[in-house]
Amino acid sequence: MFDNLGHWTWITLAWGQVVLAYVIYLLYLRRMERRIREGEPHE
Amino acid sequence: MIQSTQSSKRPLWLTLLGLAALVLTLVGAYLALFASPPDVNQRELIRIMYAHVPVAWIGFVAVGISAIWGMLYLWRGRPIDDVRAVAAADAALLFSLLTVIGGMTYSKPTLNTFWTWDAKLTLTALMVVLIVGYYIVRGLIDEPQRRARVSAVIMIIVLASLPFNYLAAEWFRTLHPAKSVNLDGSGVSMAPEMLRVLLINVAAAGLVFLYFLSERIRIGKLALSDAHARSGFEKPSPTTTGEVVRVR
Repeated sequence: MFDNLGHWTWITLAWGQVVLAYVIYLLYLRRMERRIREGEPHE
Repeated sequence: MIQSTQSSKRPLWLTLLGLAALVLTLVGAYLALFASPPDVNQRELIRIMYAHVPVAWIGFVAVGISAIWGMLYLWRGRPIDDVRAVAAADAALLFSLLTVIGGMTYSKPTLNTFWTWDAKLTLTALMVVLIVGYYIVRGLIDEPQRRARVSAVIMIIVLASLPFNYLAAEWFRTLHPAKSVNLDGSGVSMAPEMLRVLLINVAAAGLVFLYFLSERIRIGKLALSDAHARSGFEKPSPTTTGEVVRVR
């Protein structure tokens, strides 16, 4: 399945996962802050 | 519901730090993807190295900072040190997960395998498992002071494993390549133009880490104030020793 991927596909996957992780963590922080400000449980 | 206060708003310097991290990340990505020359052996795949190595280094730094704040909590017992330790632990988990997944993405096209259970890779996987365990333990313990103490000890154990992880590529047979940048003074075995691009990407990941850390500490302080308000304290004081509050 993965043997036929080109070099630039792997490069895109490697950089894409870093960007995706950064964005997901930022969204997680925003959600946490919103829940605290709205008085919802945030444990 | 806690009222928004001036101190809980995002300060200007934090917004500027986030912008600086974004700009440097874009510059680093451009240099890595388009400006860096291909490698003699790995050809274009060397561009993955510029994403993989910085997150691995910053993951190690995040573990160290979380462990130091954990030690400070064990020493002083201030809730704010636990808030800071958790903020750095968040980054340690994020960057170490990226290290493992990015390493697999780098390994498959260059070494024709995603994973092998050699010392270096196993120690890195163990680091991720221990950091995940840090959060599981925090979820299981209700008493805030005990939760902070136990999780601080876990992060200190993770920190103690890092020298073995760092040296594993020299001590044991491993698929992981030998280090090109050595901290023991033996020099750098990397072309200068590649080293420059790598260091710019390390700086970019470092700024992203600082931004995430500062933002997470700000939100952690907000949660601490919220916990104080719910428990009936009139004036929250996150630096007071020995208070029983629930923070995430």
